[in-house]
Amino acid sequence: MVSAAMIEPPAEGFSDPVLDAAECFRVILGALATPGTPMRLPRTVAAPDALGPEGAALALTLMDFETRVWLHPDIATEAVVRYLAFHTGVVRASEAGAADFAVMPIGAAVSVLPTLVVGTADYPDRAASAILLTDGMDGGAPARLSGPGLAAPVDFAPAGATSALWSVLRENAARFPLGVDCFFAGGGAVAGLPRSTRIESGEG
Amino acid sequence: MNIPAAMVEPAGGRDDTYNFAYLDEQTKRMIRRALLKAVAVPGYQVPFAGREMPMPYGWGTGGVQVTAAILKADDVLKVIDQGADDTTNAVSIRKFFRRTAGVATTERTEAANVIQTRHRIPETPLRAGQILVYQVPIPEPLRFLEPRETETRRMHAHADYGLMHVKLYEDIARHGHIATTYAYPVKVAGRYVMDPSPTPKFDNPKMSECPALQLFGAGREKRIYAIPPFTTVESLDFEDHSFTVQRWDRPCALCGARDSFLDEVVTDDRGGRMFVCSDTDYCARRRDAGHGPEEEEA
Repeated sequence: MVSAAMIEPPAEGFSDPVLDAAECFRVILGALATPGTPMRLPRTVAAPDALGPEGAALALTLMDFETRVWLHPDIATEAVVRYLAFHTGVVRASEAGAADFAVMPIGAAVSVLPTLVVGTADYPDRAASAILLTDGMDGGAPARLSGPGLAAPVDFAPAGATSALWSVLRENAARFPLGVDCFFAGGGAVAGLPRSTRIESGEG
Repeated sequence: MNIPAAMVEPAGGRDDTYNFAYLDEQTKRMIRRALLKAVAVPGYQVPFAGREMPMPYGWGTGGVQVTAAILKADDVLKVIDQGADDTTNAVSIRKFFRRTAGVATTERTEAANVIQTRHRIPETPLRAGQILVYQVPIPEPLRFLEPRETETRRMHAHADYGLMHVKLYEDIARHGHIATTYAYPVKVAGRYVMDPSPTPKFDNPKMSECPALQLFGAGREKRIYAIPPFTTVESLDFEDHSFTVQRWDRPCALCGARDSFLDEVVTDDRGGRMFVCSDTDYCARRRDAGHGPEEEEA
């Protein structure tokens, strides 16, 4: 028999699940509507180390038992799995190609992004969203972004971004209206990169 | 921005027997996920599991669900119906959110950060950070041309919009000009043809490159779509019959504005009528600033 004392409770989620989720969603919505523009999250949540408070805020706001999440092996620690199961009830997908949400370190995105579902011509909304965990919103290889949401092109260089990543994301954008929508999370902020954004990167 | 405090009805008085903004959290998350897809694919209609709301279809259940899913406690909400803040639909939806969300409300366009609208875009230019939520009766611009959902979906997939141009052409053949005056079809970001909801075509140019985020909710048809800020929205037309908006040969009878959309108001049973701004906030503000009837002629 397992005694209750042996199970350590997962880290706390939102202190007010209703109002905190509402505030976080508006930041997430604004981030996707204004690509490549880091937006500070209004609430910090306690989170397992591998996920980080920004990744946790995205998960708590968007995931529930109706969605499937794929966790990169580096993210899928016991603490993260229990945290997501307890707070969201999200279903784990065994492979990335079966997920609505895929959570990965930014360094793994080059290999993971091409395996995610991109929707169909009739239903482009049936595509995955990728959450790329990063250390911050600058210091990586830069890309110049333009398109819906942006009055003028912006430069975006999240930590850990490489020219190979921008190349994969350019191919993703070229499939519009199909494609994966990305969120970069880390350093106290989130930034969005919908499939509709045009990407030019300095290194080709 | 200096907004006199008197122009905003402060937050408070939420009936907490309801969840914040009425909808349960599960429904809000479902709508929020649909909204993100709608923003990512501008102009594409995302199906969503629309709920029954405590008001009949046709009264803005789609817009109300979108507003409920995006609202946060410190928002300032404005609701308009045909441009007016004081008509039945606007008043009842504003009261609904005062009761269920306890948010502050206002009639001033620039004081609001969420504006729910039925069939108009405010005359006061919108700014970045504001969200305009449209109530949409029939989201599919091709529906009256092709009744089958499977076919219209295929037409959108192939960007096969020739039929819409045939419809506009038939207008020209019959009337000598494009006679469509509201729900005038637009192409968003060069890809999807979209119904702007039954706004007068007068408002179409305001949708393009608008700094505010525009969200559309159709409750009965269960579709959500969006136009991100600073997105090109083009009204369909022909090289030799270009898109034009309505013009009036007289100014507003109350404030003298010549740049706003005018409603015709019947004043008696002997043919008397007047033309006044449909945007009540815009008209009242002009009058407060000393503008009056026919001032341009004076």
